Amino acid sequence: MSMTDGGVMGLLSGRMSYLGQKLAVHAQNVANADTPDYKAKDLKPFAPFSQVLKETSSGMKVTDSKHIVPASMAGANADTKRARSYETVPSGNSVDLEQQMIEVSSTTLDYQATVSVYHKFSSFIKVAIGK
Amino acid sequence: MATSDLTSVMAVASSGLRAQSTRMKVVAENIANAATTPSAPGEMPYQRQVVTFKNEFDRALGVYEVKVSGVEKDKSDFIKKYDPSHPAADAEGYILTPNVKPILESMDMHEAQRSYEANINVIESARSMLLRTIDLLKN
Repeated sequence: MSMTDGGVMGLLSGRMSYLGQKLAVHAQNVANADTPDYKAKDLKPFAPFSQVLKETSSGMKVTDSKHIVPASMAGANADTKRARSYETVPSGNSVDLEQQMIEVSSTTLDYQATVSVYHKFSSFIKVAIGK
Repeated sequence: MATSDLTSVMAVASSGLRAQSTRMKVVAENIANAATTPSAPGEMPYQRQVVTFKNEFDRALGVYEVKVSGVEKDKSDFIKKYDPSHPAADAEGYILTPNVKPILESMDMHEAQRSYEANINVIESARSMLLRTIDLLKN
């Protein structure tokens, strides 16, 4: 397995960019917490782990830029979906600030965990190159 | 890219901060003018203002920001009070006072404060994520 492209590093940077996007979506929700008819959004769950397994073992693989990429392998650019919300106020807004705060803090924690793993992994590489 | 996502987080959250501070300004105007009565009969008292928000797509960042769509006048009736000694009292001794309800304003103020804090919270999260990423370069 390659250490940099598509392997652990690829998975970690994919997860970091996914969490960055997720925080951007929650920032939109919080900013529009009082906008009439605004519906809370969320990202679909991060699922490239199965893809990484698929890519490193058998199954379909993109080896040429002209290949059609199936939707399940389209990378970390996850689609937004309408979030499930606890309440919708009479103005038609479905943002629940408490729920958004929980999402924001869990996204931050996940990001910090991912950065820690990234850091650990880069120290492995340092060991391998003798630094 | 993660960094540009985190910078768009800052842009969205700061648009939220701007919108909520405009709302706070309007609430402050309403509370300050809650007793602004006319000085002569036939004149109108201070009319309560209401702020309205709209959702605007920022093409450069690809995110939905919040904008103040306008500050409108509250259409509810003025409150009539009996005060024959007042300079603005009409023939029957009534004056018109502003349609500002202090309880409503205080609720609105708390809601604005809560939304402002939520936006600050998002900015702090994005900031700590950026700092953690920068820390990767240090060691």
